[in-house]
Formats: sequence, structure tokens, C-alpha cells
Amino acid sequence: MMSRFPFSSTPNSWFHLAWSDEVRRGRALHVRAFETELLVFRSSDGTVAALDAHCRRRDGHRHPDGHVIGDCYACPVDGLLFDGSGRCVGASGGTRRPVIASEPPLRSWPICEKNGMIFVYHHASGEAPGFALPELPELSSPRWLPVGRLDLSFPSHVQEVVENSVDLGHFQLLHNFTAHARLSRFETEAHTFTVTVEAPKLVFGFSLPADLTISYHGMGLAIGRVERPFPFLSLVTCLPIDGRLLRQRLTMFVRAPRIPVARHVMAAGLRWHVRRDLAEELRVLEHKQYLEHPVLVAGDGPVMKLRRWCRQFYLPSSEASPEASRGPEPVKAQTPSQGPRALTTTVSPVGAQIS
Amino acid sequence: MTEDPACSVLNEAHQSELSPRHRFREKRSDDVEDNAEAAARAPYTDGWFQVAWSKELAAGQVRSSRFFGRDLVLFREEQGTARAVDAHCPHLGAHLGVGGKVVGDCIRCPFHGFRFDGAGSCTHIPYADKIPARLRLFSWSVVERDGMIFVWHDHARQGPTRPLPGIDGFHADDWTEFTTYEMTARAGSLELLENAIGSPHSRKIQGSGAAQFEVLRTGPVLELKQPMAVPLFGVQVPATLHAHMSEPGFHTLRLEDLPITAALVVSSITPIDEATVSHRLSIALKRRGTGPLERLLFPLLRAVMARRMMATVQEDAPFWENKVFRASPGLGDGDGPIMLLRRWYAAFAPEVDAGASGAPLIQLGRSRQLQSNVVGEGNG
Repeated sequence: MMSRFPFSSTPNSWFHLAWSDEVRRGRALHVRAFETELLVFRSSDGTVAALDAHCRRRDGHRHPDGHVIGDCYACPVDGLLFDGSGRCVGASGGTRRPVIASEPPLRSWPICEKNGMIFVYHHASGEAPGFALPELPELSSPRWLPVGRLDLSFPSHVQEVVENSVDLGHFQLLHNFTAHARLSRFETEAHTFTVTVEAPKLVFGFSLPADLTISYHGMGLAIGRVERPFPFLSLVTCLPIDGRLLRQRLTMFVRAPRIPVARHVMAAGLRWHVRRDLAEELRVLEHKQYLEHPVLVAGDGPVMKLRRWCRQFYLPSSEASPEASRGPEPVKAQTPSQGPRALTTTVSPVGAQIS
Repeated sequence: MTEDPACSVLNEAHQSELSPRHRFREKRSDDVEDNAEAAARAPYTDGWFQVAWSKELAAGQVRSSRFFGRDLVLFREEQGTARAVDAHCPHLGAHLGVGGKVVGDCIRCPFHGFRFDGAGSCTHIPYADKIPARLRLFSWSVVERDGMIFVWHDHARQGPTRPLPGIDGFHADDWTEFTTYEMTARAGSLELLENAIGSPHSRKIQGSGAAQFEVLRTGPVLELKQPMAVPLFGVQVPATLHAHMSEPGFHTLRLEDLPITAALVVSSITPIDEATVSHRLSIALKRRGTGPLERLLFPLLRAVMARRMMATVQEDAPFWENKVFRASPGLGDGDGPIMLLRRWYAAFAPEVDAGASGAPLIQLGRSRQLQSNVVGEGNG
């Protein structure tokens, strides 16, 4: 079957792997991402690491959720201990030393934990992260109240969601704007872009002046800030699960006075509103066809400019072999302790698992 | 008959009553017949095809469909005209059938609210006055008649080269309304057609004896006549089956010389993609006044007949879903006018550049004798 999109399912960016509180100390979590499966764990000192969830040996078994001993992940299948760099450093049972020494390392992924979220960096040819993610000052302020999270999976592509942020025409029909959105700001700078749209919006039956500023950092993280009608902050992240499915997560905050009952009522109302706001849009995204040459009209917004900005996150098509995008080699900078054998492994068991 | 490995597989399949979806034989890629098979299944023929019944599309309703390997959207204008357009908006690609709405005589895209009329022209953009000429949706030629909605399909997307033929011997006043039945089958159009018209297998199941076909007409219109027995309420009722074919996408079967009435079946076969077809049956009985007999018995009769036909089609499913298409099958006397049918069908195949498609068009009616595995039973 022909692919739905003329580009790789996974651009090179930071992607939201899990919320920090999902991976507590001494726990491990499986996350499906990038056409494979990652194992995220937090050691007893609080550092998070992400490894390939499948063993590199020929049997390629999936490491179960297991448990963490010290700063190592202990696989309950074979009793081996892996540190954050993916190296096998010991065994919890009576496994002999030669076995431990010959155990091929697991691929370790670059990790960044910020704003209560764990991000992982994906690069089609395994390069080190090209940019850093920002720390949000709002989240450390007591005035901002978390109002909830949404976790949605649907067939689409990261770029479709990114493109939507500058698509001025869709706000009216899909997000209850009562007039055509006005673009008051559009700036692209290296790996980021910022867009501000303004228009009256129907909120709980009232048409109120509204604005929305979206800042993207790579293609995996969008920070949406609303000043009017009330201060609202939403972190919208996309994670490519495989060639078909996309996982979108929203982490929402509102700046509300510290009135115990009122703020919780407000939070519930907002959750309901956002969920309704997204439902129709997801249906459109799920069934739409990506047109390389859309017939654009005046007032559509800088869709083509945004597509050009997106191009920096893909390898030029000649470099992006399916092999490279599926099972890239471990990042050298992140795993300096790996032996030369690990780097020359040509067939990754992860690749073998999916094909 | 000579034992052909493929044929024995088919017979086994019949004995074990495999479900229609069960795939028990990998088709060999080096099979000489595969080219002919591919050509027989796709490309699709040119002509009129039924895509829906009128009752499935209410005024203001939008319906997503997939035919000829394409996504299309049917909608009915508020004034009542049925329309068919390509499913994806030329603006930014949204599917008009998912959240699209009919506004007056237009369909409104769910994404940006662009409106397109039945001819495919954009008539309204909520936020722009200038409408680019390139902003056009492909519009299919639609004809709605006798409770059925037909579209014209041709490869070049040029539009109809002939009008939709009427249903042979049908005047709405003389017949009851249609009882309808729809199924999706993993088969080629021609395979289903051969099964519906000419296979002794289906007649055997229907309980008829030897097959004697009388060809009434050949050329662009093919008409065949054949005596048969219809099992009704456990009794074998003798009848004459009159098949009339003028379009590759649908044909008419009339059951005549039945005791009380006559039956008419419009059987349409519309390709969904290269491997699947949508098969629709519309069954009507000849009216005989408005007495209690008609009011009570006819709906029952229609239901029984529909059920009977559905059962036949379902029983046949393992055969045409798994058979290999033979360009020149060795045909026994009981095989029906398969070659006649194929020759007639080939006239509707579009001119395709063989070099581009890689598959030469099927050569029909060659005298080369190959083992038959179309349906083996009639020969035995």
C-alpha cells in the first residue's frame, strides 16, 4: 500500500515519551514510538533513561516492565542488569561473567526531562540532539493550576498537526471562532516558530475576543498560550507511534484565583470545552489526504512557508533509507562507554522484530 | 473430466464448505494465466455502474463510498438531485464525507467550509472572494432511475459516451417495489458475472437439470434464455430465465412462465477496487392488480426469492473468490455460454497501453484448449 504521506513518519525532533509522574523512581514503562517500542525507567537517584525494549540477542525478546535495581534496569527474563547507557553491567542471578561481558548493549535514546514531561530525541541517522527544549516559567508559579491532560491516538502525521496551527481557515468551522482568524504574528527561527491568531470565539455560548499563540520547538512540542478570554496554557505534543498512528497529548493549565471550589469547576469546564473543540478536528485529520500541491486561497495562512520550515526536520530523501529510519545505530555521544562491537552491529534485532 | 490440481482444490473447498473469506491457495506469481487474470479484474471496464439505491440517500444526506479504487462521496441536494464527487477537497485534502454537509445544492467541506456544487465547481469560500479556477472537484456523471443511482466510469474521466440503458421490460407501474440485497465479494466483476449468468454450478444448486441455452441476441446487447426450475416452498417450479445484458456493470434476469407472476432481478456488479466488488440485487414481482393475494403473498414471495438468491451467491462465494481466471477454459456442454459472455464483456474493456500497464489485455475466444477450472461440476 502506498504511504499516506510523502515524507518519513518520524521527523528529527524531541518527542514526548511520557509524563514524569508516569515513571516513578524504581519503575519502568513501555512506550510504543517510532515504529518500535521503548523502555523508559527512572533509577533510584531520579535520572530517567530510555532504552530499546527488545533484546539485541537473536531471540530479541521484549523486556517486560520489570524493575529497577539502583541505577540499572533488571530484565526479569534473563536477570541481566542494564544501565542508562544500555550497557549490560551485571546480573541479578547467578549468571556468569562471560555472559555479561558478551551481552550486546541496548540502544540508548537521548532523554530530556522538562516541564513535568519526559522527551526523547529521534534522529533518522542517529545524530545527537540539534536543539534544546525550553523551561516554562508558568509551571513553577503557584498561580497556574493544572486542569487536566488528554491522551489521544489517531491515524495522522505530526506535520498535519503542525500545519494546522497556521491554517487560519479552519478555526471558524472546527474551533468555534465566530469570524475568520487574523494572523497577527508569524515568525520562524531555526527550529522554532511562533504564530499568533486572533478572532472572537464562542466559549460556553458567548462570543468573546480570543487569541492564541502557538510556539513550536521542533515538531514534537507546541506551547499554546491564550491570554483572552482567560489565561490558559496548553502543551500539545505529538508522538509518532508507527507509520499510521499518531499520539497527541495535551497538558493543560489555567491561571485562576485560589478559590477552592471555583477553580475546580473552571477546570472541569475547560476540560469539557477542549475535548469538544478537538473532536471534530481529529475526524478531519484522520481522513484527510495530504496534498503536496494544495489550491490555496487568500486568507489561508502561511501553509507553504510552514511546510518549508518543516523540511529541516527530515533527512534529504536520498539519505533516508528505510533501514536508517527504522533502526538507527546508537548515538555515539550519548553512549561513550560502548565497545566497538556494539557500533558495528549491522542488523538491529528491533528492526527484525518489526519487519 | 481431467483432473486439474486447481480444480481438485476447488472441489475440496466445496466439500469442506470453507467460509468465503478463507484463503486456501496462494496464487503463483509465475502463473501464465496471471496476466490474463489481472487484465480481467483490472483495469475496470467503462460504463454505467450502480453505486447506491435511491432510498440510501435522503435529501441533504452525504454518503462516503469507495468504487474503482477511488474514494467518492454521494450527496443529495436539498431539492432532490443525487450527485457524486471525488471525496477529497482540492483545497487542503479533507474528506468531504466525514463531517461534510449539504447546503442547498452544494456540499460543504468540513475543514474550511468551502462549498462545491454538483458539477464540482467551488461556489463559496467563507473568507475569500476570489475563487481560483483550479479549485475544482471531479464530478461523476450520475443518473438516478427506478430507485437506483448509477455513475458513469471511464478511465480517461471523459464522461458518458452512451446513455444509461433502461431496465429491459421494466415499467415501474407494472412491477412491485424492489426488495434489495447487497454484499461485498472478493472477486473480479467478470467472475461474478459468469457465475450469475452461465455457471451450471449455480443452477445445480438451484435445482435445475441439464442446461440448454438459447441465444436470442448478440452484439452490444446479449440476450440469453434458459429453462430452469425454481425451488419455492419445497416445490420445484418450472420457469424460464431470461438474461439481458447491455452494460458490464449490471444485467437483468427475468424469471418468466412462473405460475402466478413473473420476477425481475436487476443484478449489479460494481468494482470497489482491484480485488473486491460490490454486488447488489434488486428483486421485483409483476403486479396483478391490488387484491389481497398480491398484498399478502407478494412481499412473502419477494422475501423468499431474495433469500434464495442470497444463499446461492453465498454458496458460490468460495468458488469465485479462489479460482484462477483462465483465458480459454476447456468448456463442457453444461458450462453455459461462458465464452460468449467473455467476448461480449471484452468489448467494454478500455484501450490500455499494454507497455505501460505491463499486462496485455485479455485475448478472448482463442481456441487454445486449457484445462478448465472455472467450475468443474457441470462436466462430470
